[in-house]
Amino acid sequence: MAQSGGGGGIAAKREKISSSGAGAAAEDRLSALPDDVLVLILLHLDTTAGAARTSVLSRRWRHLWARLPVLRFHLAPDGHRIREVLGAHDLRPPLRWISVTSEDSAPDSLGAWLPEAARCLSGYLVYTNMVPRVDEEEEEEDQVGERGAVQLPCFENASGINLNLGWCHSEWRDSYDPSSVQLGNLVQPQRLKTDLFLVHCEHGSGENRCILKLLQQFRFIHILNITLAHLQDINDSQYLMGDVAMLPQIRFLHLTVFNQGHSLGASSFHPLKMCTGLRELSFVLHGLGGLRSCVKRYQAFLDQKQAIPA
Amino acid sequence: MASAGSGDEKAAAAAMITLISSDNEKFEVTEATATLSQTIRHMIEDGCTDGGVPLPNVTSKILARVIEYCKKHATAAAGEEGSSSSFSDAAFLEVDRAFLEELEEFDDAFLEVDRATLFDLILAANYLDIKGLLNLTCQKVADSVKGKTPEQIREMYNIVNDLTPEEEAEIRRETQWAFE
Repeated sequence: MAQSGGGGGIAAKREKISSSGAGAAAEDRLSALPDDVLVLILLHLDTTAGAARTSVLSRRWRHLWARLPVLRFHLAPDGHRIREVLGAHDLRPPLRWISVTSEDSAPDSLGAWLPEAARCLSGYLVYTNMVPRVDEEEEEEDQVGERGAVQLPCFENASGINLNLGWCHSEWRDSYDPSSVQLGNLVQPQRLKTDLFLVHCEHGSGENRCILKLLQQFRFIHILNITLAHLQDINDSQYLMGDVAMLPQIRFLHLTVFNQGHSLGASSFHPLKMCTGLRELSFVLHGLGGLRSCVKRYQAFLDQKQAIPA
Repeated sequence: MASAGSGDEKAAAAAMITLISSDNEKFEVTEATATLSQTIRHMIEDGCTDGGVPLPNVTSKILARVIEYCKKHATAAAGEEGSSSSFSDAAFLEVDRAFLEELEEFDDAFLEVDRATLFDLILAANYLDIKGLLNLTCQKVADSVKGKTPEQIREMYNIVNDLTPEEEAEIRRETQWAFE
């Protein structure tokens, strides 16, 4: 981070860094830090809410949080609030990172803030839908189809968009039926991370439909993360890899496989055969019980990316 | 800090930089260590480090700590160069796990300082533009306020609330979502 004083190079602008230890009991050294440093401290708080709460500390702190180049909303209660925050700060630098984890899978809520995000984002957007898996019956009652649709706006300046639309396939179908999500001008994403792709499934091909549809939206993807999941019990199940008839051009492929003890050769080679322009491949194999660790690692990965925004 | 020391002084001397603290103490460090500071890196690139780099903002006590940090992390940076890391995914981070853990332990121990020293380190890291150290020290401050109410934070850091009750009420209204 550059000196907030700007210019001047080595010249002693601020008072000499005092030799520490000695008393100075009531000194507010925190507020005396340069703006850039305080913003950096706010950046290291877990969420944007935590940063926003500092605005009541004193006059010095009132507008600091509005200068955050990164916004993180954990379990954001309402998409309209997010829009307000995004829209409220015209003086803010372009956003390098927006992440939202939500338990509100309704397209309305997402649609409320996406256009605003598109306007001020110049970096990455990560959206994670944490809605717990619903049972088949409940899902029926949920009247999936009547929730309305989200149109993804054109993210003119974004470098990447990562939509984690749910952990389980039913959530994909639940909240992100492709007929309700339209990808705007997102022709060449830098990085795309899909949900679990089931290698076998009882119910037939419908399970992976959304991922396949999503992949069909693109001709070129710089980095694709895809996870192949084998179910533990594959009796009476259908092999689904054949549904992947075509992939976009991919430069870097991260392939993660949860094989649950099953043979993984054919299913893993299947996508590879289609990636002729591949430059690099990372292959991660998780044996039994790997799913839990995947979730943890994924969180760690997110945290890491958030700590050091690209 | 330690001078170049061992036998081939000449070869070593070429890559040594002298840093001079505000209280005029001289510290000789390798270029690799010194260039963790972007400020110093730029000075080296501009060729203005002959005769030492005066750092009038940094006391010897703090400079010694900063150099300690840079030495450790310069070794780390040198170690990483070998492994190309165009893949930044979690899986690839595991490769150097043991080493990273050691570095983490170092950082944790490094941060065990009183609050005044912590602020001195932050100012020095900001002034010298040492990203890693600045992030580390800012994280420490951030951690100390996490989960605290504004009142607790004010008390902890002697922050004087100069907002009128009306202003404070207004801000709380604006940011009500953050308090829910």
